[in-house]
Amino acid sequence: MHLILVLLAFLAANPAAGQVRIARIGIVNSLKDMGLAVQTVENGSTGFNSYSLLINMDGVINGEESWPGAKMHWCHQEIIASRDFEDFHCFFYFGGGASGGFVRDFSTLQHSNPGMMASMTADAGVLLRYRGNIDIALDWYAEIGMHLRKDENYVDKYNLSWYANGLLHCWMPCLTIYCKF
Amino acid sequence: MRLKHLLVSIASVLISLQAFAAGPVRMRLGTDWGYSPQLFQSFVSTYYTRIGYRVTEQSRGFDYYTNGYLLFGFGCEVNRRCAFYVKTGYMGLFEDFRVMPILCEAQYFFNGSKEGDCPFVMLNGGVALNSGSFIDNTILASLGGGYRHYLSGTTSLDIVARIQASNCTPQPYDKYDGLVPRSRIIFSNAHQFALSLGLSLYF
Repeated sequence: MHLILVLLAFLAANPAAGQVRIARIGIVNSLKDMGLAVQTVENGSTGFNSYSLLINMDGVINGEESWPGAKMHWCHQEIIASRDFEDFHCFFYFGGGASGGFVRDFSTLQHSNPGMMASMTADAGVLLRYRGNIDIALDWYAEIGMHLRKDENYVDKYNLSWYANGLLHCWMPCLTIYCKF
Repeated sequence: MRLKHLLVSIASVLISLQAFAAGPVRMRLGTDWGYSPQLFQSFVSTYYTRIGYRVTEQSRGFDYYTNGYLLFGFGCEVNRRCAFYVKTGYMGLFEDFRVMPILCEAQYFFNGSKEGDCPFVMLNGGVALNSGSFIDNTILASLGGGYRHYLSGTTSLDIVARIQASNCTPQPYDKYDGLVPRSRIIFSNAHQFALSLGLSLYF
């Protein structure tokens, strides 16, 4: 609930809030993250902003862990090319943003290592806009950031390291099914 | 060899369907994914411990465990109301038991699948490999329904809810010896029921 409130506050705090409207709300589906996404557009702009509230599936998909991590993701995306097909319009985009949350990271040790993560993100993908009110986005994103956690061996100490999963999992595609307004 | 026979059988069924179809058959390819938590499990096993004791364990009851599935499917719509698919992928059944299912699925559309959005019912069944083998004798079946939304003339998005049942002979876990090797298992049988909610995207 707190994360949702923070997300709404973040949306409301946008400096161009008067001109911004919510264009799409969707479900994020990926092997690394799943969750909800909101896409906003600004009048006169060729880009859009994506705000996502995600659960991080690291360790859950392969059965090693029973509970997921959680994170928020924001990305500003600019359309760089578009192409019209018979049934749909295709928009290619790329962008950058930030993400943060409480997730696990890659570790060679046999311990779970949940911790705070903050990172910058780079994102590229394609948005398929259909005639009806459903759109589909397929994209890939990489996260470069830091991961702060309790030491796996010494409970009283903390470790700060690169968030390795952000790059290791960047090959995993992310399929978002949007309902547009 | 058993897998080879199974795949040949499935291919034969699909080719037969195409031969008997009244009109043009539309071949389709796509993916299914979703959330399928286990709700009920029954497990009975009898085995010898490392020091020779015979142990029988039994458990039955409601047991929630988070699972999911990701499947890739190939099949055909033989007419406006019926479609048949073969699906395989990755699926969690219960705790520490993930399999690669090979499923045959039949779908029936109430308003005709080529006329637009419509509800449907589906039934599927098949076997599953665990760690690349059929040694657990896993069989799966599910019954459910959903709603198909056509994004375009050739692309559809389904919302699917179904009840899934499975039966297998997993290795029991002994609290002193760990995972019991098959050479020491006399009997093992597990039933599991899950409720699944997912999406399908087919082209």
